[in-house]
Amino acid sequence: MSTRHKFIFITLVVFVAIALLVTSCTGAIARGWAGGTVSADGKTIFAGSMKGKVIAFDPVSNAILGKPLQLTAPVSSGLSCIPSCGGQTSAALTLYASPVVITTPDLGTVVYVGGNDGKIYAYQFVDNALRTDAEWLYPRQGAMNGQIIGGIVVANNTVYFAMSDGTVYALDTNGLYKKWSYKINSKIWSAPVVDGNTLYIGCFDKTVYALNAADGTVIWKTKTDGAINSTPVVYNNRVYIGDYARHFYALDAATGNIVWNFPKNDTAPGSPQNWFWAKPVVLNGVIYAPCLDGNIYALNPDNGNLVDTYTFGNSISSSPIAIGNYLVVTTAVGSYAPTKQIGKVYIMNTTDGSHREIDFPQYEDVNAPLFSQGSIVYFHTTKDNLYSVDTSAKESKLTLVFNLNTVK
Amino acid sequence: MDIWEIVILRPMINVLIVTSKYLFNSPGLAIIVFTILIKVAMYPLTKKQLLASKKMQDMQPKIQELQKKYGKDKQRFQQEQAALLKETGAMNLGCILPMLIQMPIWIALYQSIIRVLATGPEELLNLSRYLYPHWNIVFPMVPLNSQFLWLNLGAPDSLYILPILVGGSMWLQQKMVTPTNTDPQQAAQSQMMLFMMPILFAFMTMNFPSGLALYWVASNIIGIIMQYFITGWGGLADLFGKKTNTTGKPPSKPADDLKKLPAK
Repeated sequence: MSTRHKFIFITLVVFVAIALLVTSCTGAIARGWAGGTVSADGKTIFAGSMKGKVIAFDPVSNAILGKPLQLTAPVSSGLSCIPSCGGQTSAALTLYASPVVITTPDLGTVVYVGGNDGKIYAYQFVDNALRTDAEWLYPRQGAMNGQIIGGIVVANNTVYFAMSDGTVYALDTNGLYKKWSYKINSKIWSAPVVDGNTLYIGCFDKTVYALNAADGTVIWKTKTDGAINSTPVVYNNRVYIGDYARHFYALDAATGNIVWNFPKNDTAPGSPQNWFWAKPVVLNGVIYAPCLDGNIYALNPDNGNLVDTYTFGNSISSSPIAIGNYLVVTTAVGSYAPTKQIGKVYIMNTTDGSHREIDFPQYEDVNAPLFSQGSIVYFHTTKDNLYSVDTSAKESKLTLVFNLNTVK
Repeated sequence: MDIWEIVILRPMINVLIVTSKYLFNSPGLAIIVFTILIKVAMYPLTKKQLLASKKMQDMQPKIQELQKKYGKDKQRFQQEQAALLKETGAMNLGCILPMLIQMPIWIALYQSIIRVLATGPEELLNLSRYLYPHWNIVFPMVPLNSQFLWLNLGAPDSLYILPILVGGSMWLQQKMVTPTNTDPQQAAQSQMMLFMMPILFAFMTMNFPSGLALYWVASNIIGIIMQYFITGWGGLADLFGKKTNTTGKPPSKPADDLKKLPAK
């Protein structure tokens, strides 16, 4: 190759390399998928945006209460990606965990927020507005070695959450002082569930853990066939959870013994074709297990027998929600025609299997968990829009509440 | 999914996951083995490209001679150069075409590695779309064990060993194909190119997941070995004090070659 051609070729490669560098940096940026939470009196909803905003609003009028909070985190310095080299010292925090609100006589109304900087922030909600400065913060100083992906749970006057570095934390709701922590040598991306005095959580090490919620000691741990990302459901003294090996389990809540698993045979017709990612739902004595293969498997909680399979086509990555006899499900933008660019909402009547479906705008779908107030279900989409659907309305339609990122 | 994803990317991703299953559940080893397999599969094209490159390099003294002879008459120079290339069979396309054919494969491998390592929740969710439903083996394998030697394959090398290896191996490979230039201007240009790429890639490695850098190092080392067997040490011979061209033979006499050309 002549020097001139080589020069042209290398110049081309350099351009490609720079493009790859930029792509790799932007590709690695977390987008987030926080949901929302409703206050105990039902008068306020707190929703998290993808870009670190926490918004309080009135579900009747959709009016914003107070000023939205903007959470930020320091930008890493040194030899980092191009987008962070622009002299910025902080950037909007990504939120995967939905905010959680509690109201007690001692604390008043407090909203707990978990960021992908691994920190927990507690904000007072006073006079219909969130206070700008965090009341408490954990940790007060320094950084955490991971992110909060799964979510946070408040029970027994304690904030429970798991970090992606494999540590489960319990903090006092009053002051966010650490009560205990338990280190698992594995990534954790799922949210814990607390039932009575036991905390249940699934991990990437293919294990479900039951910890004593009071002191963090292990009560039992049970191996599964695949990694676990899904949040478990506890029902009738059993823990129901699905894994990446496409198996769904019922475990004895006291001992961790596997009571049954679905499917009995991986090669049987109608077996799940992808991971169990989202949290299952219990409705009218049936377990509804959403799967990334686009199906919801309705299972008998006693023996794991398949009651029915509801096919929605595209993958179900956000946790469905039960409203009366209805199951509200969202599906992702599809990989193949004809649903390639369309995410959908399904309102399914579980008594007869009939459903209504509504399209999201093109290229927009939902990864965030759904949340509801009365008959209204809220959807936080991948474009940071918050939509609502009234399930009681005869003609269900999608209503844009507002864009969580641009709201002021 | 588009044709690219269905025909190239999806099979590559699934095979990469299965390969890591049979290599001690190590995606690091899978990346290395996969890179070797693809390099071996591409060997005929690589050989063609390297030989064509070598031929072009060997032509350089003759072309320089032509330049001296017809420097003022550009049209004549181009005619003579074209005739020389035609005569010797050293066509430019011979260098570029095999390289262009290989490009999509390397881009696919790059994209597969990025997807398989899936460091964030969105990336992992996206990976689920690519898994073959009937390959039971791939589902429990994910997420892959990202630990390999001292590296977390999903994150940049915090010890900065990989950037040095990427830059160093790339420099060696470049050096092997860089001819010794007598023209100071061209020599300076060659030197700039010799250092620009390794430095750029070393810098990029500081930001990229180690798994990708591992692929670059493996690819460069295999490339060096292949190059050695096809064209010899090339420019590296100078480092060992041997005054040879890329073939390892004594330099040809450009003036003699020119005499053999048909008279115009």
